[in-house]
Amino acid sequence: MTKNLSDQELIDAVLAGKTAWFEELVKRHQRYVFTLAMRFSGSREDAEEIAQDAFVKAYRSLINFKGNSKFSTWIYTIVYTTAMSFLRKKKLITASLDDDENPIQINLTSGDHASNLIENKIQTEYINKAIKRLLPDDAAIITLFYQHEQSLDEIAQIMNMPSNTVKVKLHRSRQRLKIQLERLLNEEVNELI
Amino acid sequence: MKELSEEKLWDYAEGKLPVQEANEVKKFIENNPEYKQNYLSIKKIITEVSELQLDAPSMHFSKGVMQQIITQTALKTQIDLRIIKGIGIFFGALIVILLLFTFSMLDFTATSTILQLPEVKLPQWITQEWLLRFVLMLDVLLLIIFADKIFEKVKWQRVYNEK
Repeated sequence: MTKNLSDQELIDAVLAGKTAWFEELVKRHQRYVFTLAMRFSGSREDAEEIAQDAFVKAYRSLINFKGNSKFSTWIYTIVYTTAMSFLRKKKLITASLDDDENPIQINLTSGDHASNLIENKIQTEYINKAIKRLLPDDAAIITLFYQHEQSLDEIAQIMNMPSNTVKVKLHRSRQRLKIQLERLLNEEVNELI
Repeated sequence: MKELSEEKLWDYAEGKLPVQEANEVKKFIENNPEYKQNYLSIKKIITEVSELQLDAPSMHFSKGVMQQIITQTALKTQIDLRIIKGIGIFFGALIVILLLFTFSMLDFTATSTILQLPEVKLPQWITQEWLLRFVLMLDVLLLIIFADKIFEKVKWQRVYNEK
């Protein structure tokens, strides 16, 4: 019965006292929330902890959800803040390949060989490995944009940043992903040789 | 068009450029094989990332979340701030009433320096038996409230288990 209801209808029911219906919302969004949490933590155990915390926080603040945005965007905001404080506690944020003051420079024409490799050999396995090599923020932006189909404005809301900043960050994240893919494929070629 | 930024190439691959600009980029790519190669690899990355499978949490993830919510709700009920405030207000009011009653019995015109404690005269209808009944009634009331909270929790747990 609950499966046919929209997110908003489920939220209204939960707020009206049908607390058990919150489980349907959890089931509906758990894979997205868990994947996003995985991008931050890198381990299944930590990702489950972050995802569980995020859902409990969402339940507790459900009354504050006004429906101005999608429920998914709202829950990703909670996942993002939960994950960031989790990383701060565990001090898991490591140094980036570059930073915003000294962005990486990519020579478009120098990577022909690597581009060719990407086009021919890229597989899901490589993408997953490359994403794991990215910084949490970069991995999260790519996941939100391509896998969770969130717009730049929605990502800006989730990460509490201006849309323009997110646009720049998305571009840098894509570049870093491409670099990581090129490195992975080159490593593989070198191993074969 | 003399040069093409990587950002524009990504936007073109995602189909986010206006028609005219997209046509210019298309022409430029066709005439520059190295850019075409880059474009194709970008296109491939976009397709692969978009088609990545989502990670799945453990089988009992949603049950775990609900269990945590139940536990936290139960704990919250036990230390409900409203109950604590209510008790505080009750005892505060009791102290104020007693102080007012005591001061109203004091004789401020007395000249003696020796403190004369006033003789407290309770109204005749407040007997020892009446006090005992009042306290008993209060205990019964608190017991009913406590039982109600427990039954509510048990009922909620049953509804959740049946679902």
